[in-house]
Amino acid sequence: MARVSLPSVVVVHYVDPVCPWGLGVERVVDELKGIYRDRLGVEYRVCVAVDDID
Amino acid sequence: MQRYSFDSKSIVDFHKRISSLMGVSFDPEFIFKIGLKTSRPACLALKAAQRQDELKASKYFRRMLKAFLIDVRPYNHDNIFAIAREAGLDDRKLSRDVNSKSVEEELNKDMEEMEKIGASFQDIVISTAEGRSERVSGIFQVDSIVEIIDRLLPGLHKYTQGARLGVGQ
Repeated sequence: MARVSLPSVVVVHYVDPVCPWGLGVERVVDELKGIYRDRLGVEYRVCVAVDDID
Repeated sequence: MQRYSFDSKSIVDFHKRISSLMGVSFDPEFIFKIGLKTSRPACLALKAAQRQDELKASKYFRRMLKAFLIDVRPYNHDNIFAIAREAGLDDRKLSRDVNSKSVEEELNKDMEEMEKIGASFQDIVISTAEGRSERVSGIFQVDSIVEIIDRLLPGLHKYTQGARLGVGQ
């Protein structure tokens, strides 16, 4: 039976593909992945930041 | 979820402030240059991409950030799906899924979670396998987050910090 290693820590990031906060948070996530590697998981929750600009 | 109301000048000023706070460069006028009216189509496409492959979906997310905020590619259906192909996704399947009721429901579920915990787009939530968690808002220095992880999960092994992956890779 295959063994699956679950990450010890999970970072949940609330994102919109056109929201600039994502650029900064992703930079931090990259650095965290460098430090913790497979011990850190990242999950994305997708949320609409911009709606109905006139 | 924090809600903002802007006019065309204040949104550009807000973007300049975000850029300065985060130490990242993007075009502060990108909204007008790319013709953005609503981000819902990109959000639905990303949500549909997560069904195909989580890793490719995260690549897709980063590629959209770069394409629209930095490269200021026009924000339209063709580019949303072209970027999906560039990220290795099946754009035909994506176009079928993107208009499905279930993808819309999954998007609504994410938004309800964000609303429920009062999170904003500058927040992350750090959770351990043991069930401890903490919401972190507006911290863009990695050392501060490492301190929080140390507190939540003392002794978690740290590797030598690797090279940054970089947006768009």
